[in-house]
This record gives sequence, structure tokens and C-alpha cells, in this order.
Amino acid sequence: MPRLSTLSNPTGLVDLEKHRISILIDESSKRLAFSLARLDLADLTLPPGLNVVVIARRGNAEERVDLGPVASWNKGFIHLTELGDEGTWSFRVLLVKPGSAMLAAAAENIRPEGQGDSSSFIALEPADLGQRPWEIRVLEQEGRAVLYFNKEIYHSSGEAEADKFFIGMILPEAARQLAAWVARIPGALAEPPWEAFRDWLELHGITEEPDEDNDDAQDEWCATVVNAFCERFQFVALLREARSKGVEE
Amino acid sequence: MKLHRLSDAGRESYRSWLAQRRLGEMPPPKLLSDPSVTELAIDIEIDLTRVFKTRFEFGKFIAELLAHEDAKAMLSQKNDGLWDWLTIAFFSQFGKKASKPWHYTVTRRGHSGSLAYRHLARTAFEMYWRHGQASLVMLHVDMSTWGDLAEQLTSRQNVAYHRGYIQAANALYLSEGKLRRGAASRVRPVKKRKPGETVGKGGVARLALAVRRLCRTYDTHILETVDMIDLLPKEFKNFIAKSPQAAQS
Repeated sequence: MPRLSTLSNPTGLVDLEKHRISILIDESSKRLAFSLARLDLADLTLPPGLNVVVIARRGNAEERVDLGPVASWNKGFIHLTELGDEGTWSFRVLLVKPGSAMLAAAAENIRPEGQGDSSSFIALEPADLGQRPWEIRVLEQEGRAVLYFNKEIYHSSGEAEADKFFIGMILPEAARQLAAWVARIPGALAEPPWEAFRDWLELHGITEEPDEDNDDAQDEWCATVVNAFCERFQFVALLREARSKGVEE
Repeated sequence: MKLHRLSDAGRESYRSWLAQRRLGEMPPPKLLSDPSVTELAIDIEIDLTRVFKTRFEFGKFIAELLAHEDAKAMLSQKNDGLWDWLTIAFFSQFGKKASKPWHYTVTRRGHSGSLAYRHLARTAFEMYWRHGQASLVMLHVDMSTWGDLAEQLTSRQNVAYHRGYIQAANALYLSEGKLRRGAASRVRPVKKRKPGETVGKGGVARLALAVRRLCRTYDTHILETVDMIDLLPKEFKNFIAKSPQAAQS
């Protein structure tokens, strides 16, 4: 069988764009459930007789569900039993020939409807954090971090994002923690989920990987990442403007 | 004695004790049966005098004891107190080392997600229940040992649940119940690696990475062990050559 390479596509895998797919989740009952509500394969050249397989992920657990033939996949809500109640949802939608393990087509990192489809490597989500205003968690499987903010302060991520003081003061530290996590894990950036972060780093001129055995070099690398991040979003200008508006008011 | 679980107050008391325990100390006896901190979990008798050579033996024993129970319910948050109680019940075996608290009490929140997988008793049951004989690769150690191998094989639940992955690890790295030389070695950072150095190549840490890469091209959940081994990169060739099961491919 052909071997996998990050530089080639030896199996002819078709990439399914995210906009072709809609997934709904139901967390209202005791058992978690999801539904693949839409799968638009128009204009794609695919082999006949494919089956739809969905891999549901939450936190660091995942569950595989076979939804049957592409022509009549099960659109009902499917109960999930392997996933816990913590972590961010994401899905993989795979098309496979029955009896074969090779993928014909795949869509990666699909977010359920209503939970945003941000590909940002630092997402914002409300959480019950007691008296802690915020907390960051790195989602290794998804190649990104989630900045949980206290839902007693902001009800939605939109509300948190609109507060320039919160964003300007907190996001640089979140970026530093994310960079520090990456710096500690040997080869993390080489793994597929971290491609987006690696591309972002390269776009900002950070092409060297940190030395995981040298604390000083790690700190220096993290500082470079944070500088690039702050430069990109102009946090100081943002905060200065917000502050001057506050003074005028 | 029948299977008990620690109540919330019991778990709190146990965690406080763990935080200040010294090597050789046993948990307060009241944590085993005092109604103020424990409750009946399941109407099943357990022999608390049993001695286990390995955590595999323990996992098998508990899986057989709970054979008629819903295993997923056993692993749910509601039963965290059961696993803590079992650790106390066999603490003379589990507690021979002064390991981190999460090895003795189910810890669902950590800086990068749940650490429940590091519980000595719970994971022994879960891995035996999921993988049967193949779980030997991560449970062949004595009762008090967590081990680098178990960490590498179970920390990523999205691959730890794959039968093919665990069976491949079992075939590649275990020989007559013992770990093959070099199986747990890690690849050194590029800057410290000598030209041509192969230490850590094909080891268990690299297997998780390889399987996660295969996920991009194959439906790895349904891959048979021989097929998965057949797809592994060349760096695994030395281990594959020593594996009778792999030699079939």
C-alpha cells in the first residue's frame, strides 16, 4: 500500500470544504447526540457507493459512527456514548468504500452549528469558573487553545470579543501560554492538527522551532511569538484608543 | 466486602490525605467503610486480600467482577468515588511509590484537560475492558507503576480507543510479557541528535504520531492490526521484523 507523506496525496483523497457540511448537536438530554443535517457533494468527482462515517470529538476523546450510504445517510440524531461533557466539539466527516479503510474524501475540524466555525488558534468560550475571570486550555488534538472566560462577566464570546480591554490585556498572555505549551512538546508543530498554527508562525517570519531542552531559548521563542501576535493585532493601539474614548466620555 | 464508593466528603478527605502523605503510610481506615464517607456502590463482593503481580491482572480481575455492569457507566463521573475507593482498598499495592495524586484519585480537570486516564485502578479496568489481552502492553507493570509507556499509549484517547493501534503496540513492543529493548525510548531533539542516530525511532511515542498521521488517509478505527503495521513508516522496521504477528503481513 502507498505510504503516507505530508508532501503528496498518494491515495487521491478529496478534500471536502467545510461549507458543504452542517452538523447539529443536542446536549439538552442526558445523552449527547449529533445529526449530520447536510452533506453537499455537488460538483465533486467521487467513486460510487461510498459510505459516510463521522468521527465526533470532544476534549481528548472521540467516537466513530457509520451513517450508511452517501445516497441515504442517517440524518437522525445519533447518541454518543464515548464522549465526556468537557471540551470543545469538532467533527471529521469521512467518505469510505464499504469494506475498505482507505478514505475517499474527508472534511476535518468541522464545528457544529451555532458554535462558530472559527479556525482561530485561540477560541473564546464561556465557562463556569467561580471567581476566576479566565482560564486557557490547550486542545492538543485540535491544534489550538480555548480561552474560557467567566460567564458571569460575559454571556457570549461576541460580548467578550467586543470588550477591547479584555481582548487587549488577556490575549497576549493567552498567546504566550499557547506558545509555551508548543515549546515544551517536542515535534508538536510537525503534527497535522498544528498545521494552521505553524503556517501562521511562518507567515510572521517564525520558521525555527523552539529547543525543548533549553528554557532560555524557549522563553525567547515565546516572546517572539507574542511580539508577532501583538504586532498583528495592534493591541497597544487598540487599548490606547479604547482608553482615550473612555476619558472623553 | 461489597464494592463501595467514596462520597464527595470522602473524596475530599482522601485528597487531603494524599496531599500530605508520606511514603509507607496507609489511608485512614475509615475511608474504606465508614458510612460518613463511603456508600455502597454495587451489590458485588470483592476479595480485598487479593495480590496482583501486574496492573493487567488487576484490570482483568475488576473487568470480570463487573462483567454484568455497564462499563461506560462505571467509567462515568458518578463512579469516580468507586475507583478512588478501590485504590484505597488495594493501597498496600498501589501506593508503594509516592506518585502524583492523580494516580490515586480520579482527576477530571488539569491544565490541558482531564487527567482521569492516569488513575492506576480505573485505567487498568478501562484498558482491559476495551482491549482485552492486548492491553498487556500498557499494563504489564507492577501495581504501583504508571510508566512512560502507559502515558504514551493512553494520553491521547482518540488513538487509545483504537483496537488496531493497541494491538499493533502489543505486537511490536511486547515479547513474552516483557517490553522489547528501545520500545520506550524517545527521539532526541534535532540539535542534540548525532548524524544517523536512530534512538527512539519506531518507539511507542512515535507510534501514536504515526497513527494520527494515518488517520488523515485511513479510517484507522477499522484497520486490522496487520494492515496498520503494514502502513507504518520505515522507522518501525526493526520492531516489525521482531514481531511474529507483523511478519504475517
